Amino acid sequence: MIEGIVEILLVEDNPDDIKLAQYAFQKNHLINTVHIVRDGAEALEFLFCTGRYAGRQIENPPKVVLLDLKLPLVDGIEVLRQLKSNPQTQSIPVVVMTSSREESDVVESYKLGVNSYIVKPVDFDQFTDVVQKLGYYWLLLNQSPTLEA
Amino acid sequence: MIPLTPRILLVDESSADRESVRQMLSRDESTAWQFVEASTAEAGLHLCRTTQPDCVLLEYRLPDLTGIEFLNRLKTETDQTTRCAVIMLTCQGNEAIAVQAMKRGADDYLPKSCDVESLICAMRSAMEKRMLRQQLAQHRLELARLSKAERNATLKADSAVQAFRESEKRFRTMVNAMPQLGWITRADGHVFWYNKRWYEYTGTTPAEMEGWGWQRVHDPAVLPVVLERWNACLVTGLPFEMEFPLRRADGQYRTFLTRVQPLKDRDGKVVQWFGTNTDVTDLHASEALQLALAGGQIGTWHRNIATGEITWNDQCKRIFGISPDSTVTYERFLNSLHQDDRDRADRAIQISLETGADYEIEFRSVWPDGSVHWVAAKGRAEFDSNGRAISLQGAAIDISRRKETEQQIASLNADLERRTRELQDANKDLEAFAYSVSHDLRAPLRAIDGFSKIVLADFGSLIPDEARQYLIDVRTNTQRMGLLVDDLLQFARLGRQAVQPQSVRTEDLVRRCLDELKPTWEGRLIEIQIDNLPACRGDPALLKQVWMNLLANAIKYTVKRSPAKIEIGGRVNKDGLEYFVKDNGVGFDMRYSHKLFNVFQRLHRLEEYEGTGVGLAIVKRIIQRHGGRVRAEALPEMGATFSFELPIEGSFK
Repeated sequence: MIEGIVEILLVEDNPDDIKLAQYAFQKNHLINTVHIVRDGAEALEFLFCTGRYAGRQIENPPKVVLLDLKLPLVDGIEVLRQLKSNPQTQSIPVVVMTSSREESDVVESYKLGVNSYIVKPVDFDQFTDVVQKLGYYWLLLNQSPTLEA
Repeated sequence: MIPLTPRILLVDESSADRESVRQMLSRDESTAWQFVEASTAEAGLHLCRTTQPDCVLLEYRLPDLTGIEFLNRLKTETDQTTRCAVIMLTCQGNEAIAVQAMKRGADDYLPKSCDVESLICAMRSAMEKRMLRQQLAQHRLELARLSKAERNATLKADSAVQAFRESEKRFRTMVNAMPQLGWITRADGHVFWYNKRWYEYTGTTPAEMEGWGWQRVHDPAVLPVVLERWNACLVTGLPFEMEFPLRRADGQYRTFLTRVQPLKDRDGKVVQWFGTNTDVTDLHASEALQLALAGGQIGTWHRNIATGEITWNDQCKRIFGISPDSTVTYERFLNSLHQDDRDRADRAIQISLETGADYEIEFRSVWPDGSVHWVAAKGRAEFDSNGRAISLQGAAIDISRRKETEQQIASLNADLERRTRELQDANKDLEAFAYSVSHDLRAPLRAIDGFSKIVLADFGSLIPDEARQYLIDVRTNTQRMGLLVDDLLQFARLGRQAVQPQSVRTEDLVRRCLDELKPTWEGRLIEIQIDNLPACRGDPALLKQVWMNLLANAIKYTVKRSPAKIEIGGRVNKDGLEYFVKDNGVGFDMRYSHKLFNVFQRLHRLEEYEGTGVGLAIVKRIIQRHGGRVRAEALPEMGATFSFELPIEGSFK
């Protein structure tokens, strides 16, 4: 999957959520552009093209990052902070997806410059709707700014 | 009156003339005349002195002196008051001599040629004059004596008056100088004089005080008793003694001991009353202080800086555990302190002696038996005009029990703090638990729901209808559990969320809630009536939750009514604001109303009415945190009224 152009980076450690997300992407014909990382550390390596992803070009960032907050190693809030504080990555749109309704998470995420924040609903139909809307919005309608190296 | 045997002195050089006079007078048989005779003036004067004649018949022309010179000598040499009568009887008659003779004391002047009757008449007249003169002299003497006695008496009286005036002046000066108030009354009690102190103290004028005017400086509450007793004394004449308040010029009352002594005359009748008022307020205060010191078990002490002498009262010695008869020195005092407190106490006392500031210290006193007692001491230094410390005095009190209590309180506080910390920790654990539930419980639910959905969507045609129905039930339940978890989390969050009160326009809030709830009653006929909804103070987000829950309930439990009727209103009452939501829905049995506001309590079957059983518990919790309370009234099938009260000013928790 690394070879192709990554349009969506899904940062998610829960295998069930991954499966469900993949199903939803598939239904919306987005699956080929999705790359999945399982923890915060891997997400940072991918985004900053280091470690396991040293061969990646930072000039080709994903069109959107779907970021879970509760992650192993480095949590989602920290990933978001690093992403938004680096000029090379700060314009990548980030959608925080979490099962948390905790207000502090919401406030913190918006403070760090998150582009959207959705609470993963228990109802799978709603989840599918969300993924579908995301796909249209971020991949088709929303043009990310051209990066100046 | 003339004497019965008048003695006549004949002073004439001519014996014939003397004989002729004797012969003339001897013819007068009514009087036994006696005669002495002198032929010269000197002999005549001598006989005047020695024989004391009643009358002298004097010839002007004498061998040694003239008749005038004789008269002069007689005047100077004999007592004028007793001097005899003198008639000048001479041939040398002329008017000038006659006048001169009369001026010099002669009683009459006759020529020798005069007849016997004229002579006797003149003699009698002269002798009577002499008698009168003597009587007059005697009267004068008597008068003089009398007037002298009278003058003496008057003088005495004058000096007595003077002495009395002096005495009274001294008395008044003394009474004016004394610190007491003093006054004098007439026998009937009419006060006619007050001393200066009286006027200074009362700030009154003599005109105001004259007579019975003193009543105006008395306490009206006490005055009747004073008057009763004073009037009794005026009747009996017995001394008066009483304590009562008198108002000072500044309006403050002070207590006076008043004594009135009657001043009596010899017969024991009261003439005047003399009264004094002695200010005993401070005395009482001092007595009260003594009582307080004894009652409060306060030790007092005094230290003379110059001599080093220290006096402790018995209580002070008791506080330091030493016997009442032992003597105290500063060193002994210091040594009786706990060694860790000695320097601190000494320093505090030295600083006070240097700066003049009062000191206040707490230290431990170690008794001879080794027991330790906490003592609080206060002290103050007195200085002379040169700023040299004269003495140090103060008070001490045993505060062992207080210290013990303080330690207990401190230990209780520590305990409380520890338990508070434990509770806070527990609370944090619960928060962490809630957070974890929020994430971890919802994720598997999502998976169950998601995979069920995938099976239904992608493999629905491969499984039997019954199995598909079960999968649908699985999804319904997972979704309900998701709601339950959400509600529970919200309820848990209320416990730590701060209430942020601001002014809330209730009617706007209610209308917004109804707008949001509109989709839930699509297709139903509901009549909603909004009455007066006064504004209130509260947390808008939390109050919105209250209204959402109550309105959603009303909508839900009227689902079988058409039209459903929901009435929303509010009013201001004496306790605060009261709001209600009334419906014509299914209602409930009041027997179970106590369960209504508890978590997970439901009064209806789930298949009839959806719900998690948390909504009313949330309502109750929010209202309680606003300092208000909730109430519900209903009858089965007759609708329900849910109401809540909010305090007007708000006492938010």
